[in-house]
Amino acid sequence: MEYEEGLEGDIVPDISFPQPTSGFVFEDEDEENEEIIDDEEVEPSNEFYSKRQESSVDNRGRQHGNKKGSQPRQNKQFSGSIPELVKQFVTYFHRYIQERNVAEIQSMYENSWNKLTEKFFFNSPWPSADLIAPLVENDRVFLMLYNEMYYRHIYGKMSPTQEQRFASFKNYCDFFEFLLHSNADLPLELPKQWLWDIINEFIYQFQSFAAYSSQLKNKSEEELNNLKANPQIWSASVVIRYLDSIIKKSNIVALLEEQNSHNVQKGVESSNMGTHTLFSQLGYFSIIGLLRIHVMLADYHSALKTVAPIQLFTKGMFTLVSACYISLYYHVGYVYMVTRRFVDAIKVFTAILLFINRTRQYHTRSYQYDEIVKKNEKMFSLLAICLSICPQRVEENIHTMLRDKFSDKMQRIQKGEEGVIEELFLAGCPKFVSPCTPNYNAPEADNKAGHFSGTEISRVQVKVFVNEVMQQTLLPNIRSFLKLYSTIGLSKLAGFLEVDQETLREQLICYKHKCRTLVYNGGAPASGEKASSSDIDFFVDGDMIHIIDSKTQRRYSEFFLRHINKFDEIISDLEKTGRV
Amino acid sequence: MLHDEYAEEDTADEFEKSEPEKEAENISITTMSSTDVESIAPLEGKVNSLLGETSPAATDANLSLVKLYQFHPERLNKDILSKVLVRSLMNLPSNDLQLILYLLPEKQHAEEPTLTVVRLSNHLERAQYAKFWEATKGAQELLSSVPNFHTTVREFISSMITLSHRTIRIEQLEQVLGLSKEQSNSYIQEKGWSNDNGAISLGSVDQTQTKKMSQNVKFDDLSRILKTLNK
Repeated sequence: MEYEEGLEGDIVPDISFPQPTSGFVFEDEDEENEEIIDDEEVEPSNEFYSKRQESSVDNRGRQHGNKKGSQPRQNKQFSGSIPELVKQFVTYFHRYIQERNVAEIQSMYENSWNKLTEKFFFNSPWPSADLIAPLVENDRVFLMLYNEMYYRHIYGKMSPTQEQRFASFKNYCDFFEFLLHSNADLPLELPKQWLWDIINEFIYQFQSFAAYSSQLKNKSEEELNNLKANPQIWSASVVIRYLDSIIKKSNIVALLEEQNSHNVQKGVESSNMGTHTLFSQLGYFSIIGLLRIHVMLADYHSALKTVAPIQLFTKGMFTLVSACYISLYYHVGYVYMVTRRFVDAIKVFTAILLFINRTRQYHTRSYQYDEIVKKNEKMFSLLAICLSICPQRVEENIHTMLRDKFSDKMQRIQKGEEGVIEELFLAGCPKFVSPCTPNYNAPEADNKAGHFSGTEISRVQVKVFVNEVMQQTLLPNIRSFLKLYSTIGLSKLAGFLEVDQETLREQLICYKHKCRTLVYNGGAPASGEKASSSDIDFFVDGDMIHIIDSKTQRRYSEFFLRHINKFDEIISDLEKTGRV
Repeated sequence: MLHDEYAEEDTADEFEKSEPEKEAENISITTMSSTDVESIAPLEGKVNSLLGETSPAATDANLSLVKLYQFHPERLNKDILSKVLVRSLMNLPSNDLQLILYLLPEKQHAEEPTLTVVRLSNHLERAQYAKFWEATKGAQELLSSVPNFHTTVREFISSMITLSHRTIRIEQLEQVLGLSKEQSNSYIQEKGWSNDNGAISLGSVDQTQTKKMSQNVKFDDLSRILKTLNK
């Protein structure tokens, strides 16, 4: 491993490239680089088209290229000479990584890379690692990191070939193995955002591979043979094991537990934790990655157990990377919903939707904007389901947005329309992935109809969830009647609801049963106190229902706070125009 | 050619050589994972031995086993699956059954014993207890595979009745608990409930005063206006 030697010997003290204060900037380049983009291979082969179609399933919204790109993307090896600017980028990038200059790495990672991509590699891959290797003295660690971005770019902008999928997997494995065999003095530091992206992309590519490998049509004999011969590539077990191993290696669980027990609420900055920052951050993100994997496999029990060391509604490390924050809350909220903890689901969704709403302006500039918008939509759908089953007051902005978009659908859910629940559930649920390798010998039809595909798992989720919801669609109706009375006879209420007395008794017991759920009260997300999720309580005495009154005071404070702020803005506007 | 490349997966060795201390050696990808096919047999043993219990450990074991079946569908053992399903009903009001159903392949959903267990569960979830007891009669063989099924479920129903009722007619009680006249008398005694001419006082629910849901103003919210107040 040449990395350590490289660090000592290779920091070139003075580089002729003019270095502005913000490090690498590429805007001031001249036209000479234009020639590099060769237009020869614009005409795509048929084979290329068929690939693009099959992969459209796993296209993320993240590429903005679609609208502009009338030109078909060419997923071909980079050829020709590397533009000077890209060479400089690579050299500087390498240097900053060796110097562990996290601020510069971050700026190049978030800005320069994307700008150069738009300029030179909008619809073709970056130069492959062996082409840039001479520029970075064959630094193996750098090349793995470069490859990570190289393949992520291909996944984002083009449709990866089988070879690229395999190679990307191998690159992740190499990188993780390298980390797992390193010591605490590893001279490597990366921005949090990038570390999160590594874990997130690893899981995305796993999911993408599952979609790819379950479509056996359009695959050549050779491709099928490759799939058969390599069942371990992108297999769920291997992916889970890597995340598990990183979590263990980073010792993050013990660190978090220690922090939780000391009740330190300051951000989980790991530098003072006496371990390697990169490991503990990567370990932390792996916990959330593993949560996502378990959710994809529909294992909700393990999902919540995985995030046990993370406390919701605190300023934990997850708040430092928006995408991570959103992913954690989306998945935990979803799990709460499907395990009938509706109160918690509503609380989690509301919190994160408010966060997205509040920081909207900031997100529009982020390269993850599309992803965030998508999650936002998904969570509104799920929140609409939760609130139709478990009606309660939510924050006013959220309430308005829901009313505008979903009021009709929410009413139809309360009338017991299965189709609407299904529709909203499918609009909001995550993608599911089967843990089994498809049967490559069987024709595609068999795989679709019978065994273990992601779509099958998603059908099962819908079925089980709809069944659960249908058990309680009558309850909001009963609730609205009970709110009007302090005592009412069973027979009278039965008359209102047009059911017989025994059915009503059943419904009342059912109401009690369904409303008693775990409610999160700090600590591990799986924990909670048994509490009633309903705002009314009652008991049956003989043939009379006694309703225990509970008064929710109106939220004056919120109203006042909002208006104070509003007036304040008006006053300061007026002051500016000089009228006061 | 692709697999050849991959065959030398253990490029990690290269790193090991250059690392003088190998303290990280034990933490590696080879760690036994909960998804290995080899874990199935021991876990099945554990599930069987914990069958009489409703502890969290038993729930964990059951769910882990169903998950292993998800990874290795060819190893699914229907006998054990049916025990796990029946036992999950005994863990009500927890939603064990729901968690298992999410993990089961579609094929199992359309077959026995899942169909019967889901039917029974729907009755219990909807508090249709009389229908539930009626339905158990057709499933004796399945339900007797797990000890104490009837007693445990009766306890659950009993707790739901106490939660929702202050008094209930004895005939209704017999119906929801699935007991005969003689059985119900001893059951009522055992529970310490009082019988007043057929109206059974369950001696529960004593919370007649108004519950108040107060609103809390968080400091974060206030901080937004502190600036204004300062002017």
